[in-house]
Amino acid sequence: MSKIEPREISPAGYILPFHRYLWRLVPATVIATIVVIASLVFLQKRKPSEVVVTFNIAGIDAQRVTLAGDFNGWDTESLKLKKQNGLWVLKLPLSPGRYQYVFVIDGKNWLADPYAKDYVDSGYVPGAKNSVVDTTRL
Amino acid sequence: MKKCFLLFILGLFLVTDISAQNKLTEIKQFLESKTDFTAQQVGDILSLVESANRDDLPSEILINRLKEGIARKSAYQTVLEVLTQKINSLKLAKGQISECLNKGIKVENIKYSHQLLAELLERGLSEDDFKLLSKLVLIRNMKLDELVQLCEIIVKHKEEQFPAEYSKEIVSLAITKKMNLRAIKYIGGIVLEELQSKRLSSEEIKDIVVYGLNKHRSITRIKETLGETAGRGKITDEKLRGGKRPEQKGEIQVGPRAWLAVKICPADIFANTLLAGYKWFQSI
Repeated sequence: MSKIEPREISPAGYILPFHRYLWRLVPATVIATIVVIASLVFLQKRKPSEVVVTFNIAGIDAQRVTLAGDFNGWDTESLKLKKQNGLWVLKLPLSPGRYQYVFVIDGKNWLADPYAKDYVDSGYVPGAKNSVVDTTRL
Repeated sequence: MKKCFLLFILGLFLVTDISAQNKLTEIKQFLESKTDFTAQQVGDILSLVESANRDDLPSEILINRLKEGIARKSAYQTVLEVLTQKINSLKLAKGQISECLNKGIKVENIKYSHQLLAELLERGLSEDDFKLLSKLVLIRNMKLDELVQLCEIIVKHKEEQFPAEYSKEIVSLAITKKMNLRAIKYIGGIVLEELQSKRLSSEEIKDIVVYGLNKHRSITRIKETLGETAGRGKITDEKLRGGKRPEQKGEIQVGPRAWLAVKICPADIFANTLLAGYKWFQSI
């Protein structure tokens, strides 16, 4: 009569010796999966970064140049351009989107940006154009 | 469980409604402080914005136009006309977008596409042109975002007095030749430059570009042909062919190399690969 060797029994029940400690990997795998999924969700949901747009206009003989557009509720006072070597400059961070804007010279003359990539009819003044800046495609 | 779900939905509606109400109150306060409109006129503008909210149109666009009108010190009647026109174009754009989505055209940024399409319709894009391009875009499995940008090319050409038929012909041909959006926009830009330089007539520009596309020429070659033909008088077959210059490498734009519509550039390929990877990652 051949003798039958006793097999190892784990607290979880009958497990082959090879898989004896395999169950210990389960929590680690679950945690790793959760971390990976959470990272993917975070990356998917995070806000697209802002784009810094430089607005500038040259050859303007003025005391004050401001910027009014969709991004500041068409406030003609809040965004002032600085004069640097004859060039009026303003750097503005904008979220992705399509914005209409104009330069306001000395608080009264509205001027479309001569270097804008696109223009649209204002609709309010016949022939007046608004410049368009599109940060979605930058 | 069912009760909880119903309460959640009810809460969601309540929050949305409160947010819309807050927006209307804000506009009312803005109009009362910045204008001398009567209570009746303020009420009319508010009801216009409210109707846009009900129709699920992006009210921020309307509010921006309203604020522009107030900053320009426009009369009440003008403000009302501009807002009404904007609502109409937004509704029209929404209808067209819904049709496209029903047909199975995918979209990445619906809000942006809606805004741009409404603007293009105001700038003279016809609904028929949009429908024609949407059919081609569906066949080519392009996205709605790309379709709207293709329409933008037609509108920009139209604004430079380039007949819409010619522009449509060029864009449609480029789509059927399996060119990507970037390449089509580049061709559109070349046509625009040539129109602005006023060296060639619209018909001549169209003929050269269409001939080049049909012969699977590179965009650079088409641009060169336009430049060479400018100022040389009537177009002959030889000029269309671009003189006696032999065909160059990298001019085939159909088949497996269709994506190489623009000149081969390692940096471009690397950037495009990264972009494709990022888009895939976003889609999962």
